[in-house]
Amino acid sequence: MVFSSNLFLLYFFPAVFLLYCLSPRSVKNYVLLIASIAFYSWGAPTFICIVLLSVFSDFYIIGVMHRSDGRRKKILLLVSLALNIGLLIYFKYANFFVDNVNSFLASFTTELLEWTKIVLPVGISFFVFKKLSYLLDVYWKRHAPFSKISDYSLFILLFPELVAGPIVRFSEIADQIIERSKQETIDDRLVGLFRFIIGLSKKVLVANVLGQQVDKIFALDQAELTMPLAWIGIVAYSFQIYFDFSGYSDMAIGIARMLGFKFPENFNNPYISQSITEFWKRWHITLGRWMKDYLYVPLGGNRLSAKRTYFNLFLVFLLSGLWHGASWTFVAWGLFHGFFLILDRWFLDRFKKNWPAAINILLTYFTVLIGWVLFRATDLHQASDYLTKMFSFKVESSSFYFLNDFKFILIAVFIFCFAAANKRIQQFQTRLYEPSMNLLPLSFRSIFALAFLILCIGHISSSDFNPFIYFAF
Amino acid sequence: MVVISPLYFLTIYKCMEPVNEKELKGDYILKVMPELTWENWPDGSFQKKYSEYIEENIGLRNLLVELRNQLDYSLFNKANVDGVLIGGNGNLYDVRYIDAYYGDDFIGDDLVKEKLRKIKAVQDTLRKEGITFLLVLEPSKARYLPEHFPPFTIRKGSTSNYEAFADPSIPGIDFVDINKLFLSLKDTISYPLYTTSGIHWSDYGCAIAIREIIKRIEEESHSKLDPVEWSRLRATDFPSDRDYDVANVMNLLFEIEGPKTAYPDFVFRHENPSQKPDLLVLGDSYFWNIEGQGLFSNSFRNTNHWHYNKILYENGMKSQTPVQALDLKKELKKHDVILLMQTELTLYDLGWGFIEQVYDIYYPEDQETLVSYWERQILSDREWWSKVRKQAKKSNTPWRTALRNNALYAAENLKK
Repeated sequence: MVFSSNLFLLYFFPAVFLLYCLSPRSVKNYVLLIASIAFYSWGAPTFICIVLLSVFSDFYIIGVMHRSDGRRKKILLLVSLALNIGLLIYFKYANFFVDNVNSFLASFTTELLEWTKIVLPVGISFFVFKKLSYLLDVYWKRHAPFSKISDYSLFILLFPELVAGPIVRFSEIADQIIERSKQETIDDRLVGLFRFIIGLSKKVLVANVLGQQVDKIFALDQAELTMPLAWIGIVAYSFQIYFDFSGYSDMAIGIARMLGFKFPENFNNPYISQSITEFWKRWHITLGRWMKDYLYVPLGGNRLSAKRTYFNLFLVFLLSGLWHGASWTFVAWGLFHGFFLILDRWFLDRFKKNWPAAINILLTYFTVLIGWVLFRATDLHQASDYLTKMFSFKVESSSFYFLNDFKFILIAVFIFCFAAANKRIQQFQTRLYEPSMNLLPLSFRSIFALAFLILCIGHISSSDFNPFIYFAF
Repeated sequence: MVVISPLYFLTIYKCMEPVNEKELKGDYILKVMPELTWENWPDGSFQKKYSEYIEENIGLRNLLVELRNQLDYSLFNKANVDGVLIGGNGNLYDVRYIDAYYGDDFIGDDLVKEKLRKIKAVQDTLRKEGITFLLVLEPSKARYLPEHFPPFTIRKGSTSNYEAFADPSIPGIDFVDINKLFLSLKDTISYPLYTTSGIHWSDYGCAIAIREIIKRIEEESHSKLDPVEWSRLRATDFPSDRDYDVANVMNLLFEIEGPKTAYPDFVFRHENPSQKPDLLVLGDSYFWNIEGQGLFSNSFRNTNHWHYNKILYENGMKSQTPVQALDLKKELKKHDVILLMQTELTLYDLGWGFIEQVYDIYYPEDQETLVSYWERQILSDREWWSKVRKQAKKSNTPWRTALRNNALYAAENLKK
């Protein structure tokens, strides 16, 4: 079930929200837990048992680990790590591993490994990371573990961020699971709703519209793809992925706020970054923080030698790339970003320090665009072809055309994303997400929110509607 | 709570349904509420179908669809119908007609020649049997109004199928070119032969075309038929559904305005029906306009319509029979006049196999080879043919060679 569907918007969420609001405090977490299990079961009915088993076993292992000391504690940490990482490796990377082994074997023999492809459980990357966050925060005594299995299950399965984040760490939400009544005010609910509608609009009215043309461009043969089309395609993709992902995060943060939770921000105008280092402080912020706190810093971070720092960065970004998907393109994308982070550390940041901000922003955006080609392509071959076309410097004509809605939205989002470099625009964005006590701004926000909600539902309702004049035309 | 209320309002409205909502226009398949079984839950198919059903069945859904379509049309000049583009003066076009106009789907000179040779042979043979067989090249809005094409579609074209078939190298083929007729009237006619909001000929344009076709049938068959006549033309600002077909399917909140259209008040005599000939029309959606106005009813006793040479419609679409189930030779003999009416959009598959089927009956020694059969199947399947053309472009092969190679492969590996 996706947030941008009528089933969620008009049935599931209103029912859950109503039930939640009417429930006594002692029951609210159970309501959310049941709703979250139902939410996951709907989308992945065959995996809910595996997920619940994993949650239950982890709860007990970590509980025992917390009460243990010394060697026993370390062993239980390793057991839990192995179970969680093993789950992720098996479901997410086994197919990739076997495919690559078979590709290698195919060069020598016709006898390949027989393997029934494993289906990837939705959201596995997110909830495994949350479980690891719980495990490590408890191990490092950043926070005591939950005493009730229902609270732990709710932390892992909470439906707003179950399948697409943001990645909420245990220590930043644990207290909210236990007690959050002070965050369940009318203002919080309104702010949450506005945030949700902003996210929904980003996804439905912007990302989906851009995505339709991006898909067509990326589906073109090399012979039909021209240089201008290739650039338009990747620029459009850069906004599609941003509005899609940040839109989803906004929806998650908004729903959570309506339920009394305050989730961390996941995006902060990433395209105004002046370096790749800064980009990763603004893009998928919760992933970056998770990687930093649970991988980079334990590996030594930048406290050791320069070479060790570069190695740590390389490893973190290799794993970040792999985390996004089991494909060489994601690995290449991760390494591409890792490479530039290393360059930043080495000399690039100091070298560009005094350059005009506009130049740094453009150069960083250009670098990110190249990375997006790797991210979007189906394989390295397509990525290479696409990049070759981008830099072919041949202006060829094409019969491909863009409709006005695509052109308008592309220009509008381009301006919107880069205008955020202006501090006033950033202040306006911040105010948009804050509660307002004044009637006039509240009224305006309400009217706009209602209008956008209606527009979004209209879009969702008509997305599959394609009538013929006559069936047998 | 004002803002969140739509989330509840639409569901409550759906449950109560105080007012019957206006239906959306066009042909589409309604989603059905799926039945939950032990199999379709675990594999996710129930959830998918249920979600699709819900998307279509929320409160005020039709109004929301119209609102969205209207906003896209008003703000972005966009029609939310596959393949429909908005050109100059508000003219609506089907992009496939534009592609055909520019020759994107041209089948090549040798295939055109072969088709024309068979048409002539069939015409001559049927004439000997007392059956008048006439080819009618229906008009195309793209060919009639190229000056209003959306600017981004304008490009350099090459020979089109229409240009190749309308200028036959084999003399003596009987055909009526309605494109040519319409273009000859374009500067003088008072009312549109194509409306801005329609994709087919207007009611008025259709009447003019059928009047011309009747005259040609008379010439070819050396007989007299009751003509298509009208006593006057009624001009109106409100086009009929047929003249507003594409705009209808766009499902807008507000009607699109266009120039006045005209509707003839026909004078049908319906005298001596038993003496009138029987007509078979192999046609496409342009036929529905003829049927809707009853334009053949005055001149012919019975009119049967074989839609795309696939389905026989009788009694005004009340009964449908697959053409495959009919005895072709017997059916031919039941009719005095046979019209093959086809528009430029599908001329890559002129006749939809009818020509070849009739030719094979009368010239069994020269039957279509298996390879030719598969070439025709590929050409008649837009998606398949598009794949073959892409394949040819990618491998830098002439597309004719790619077509032949694919047909050879199909002949060896696929059943007819």
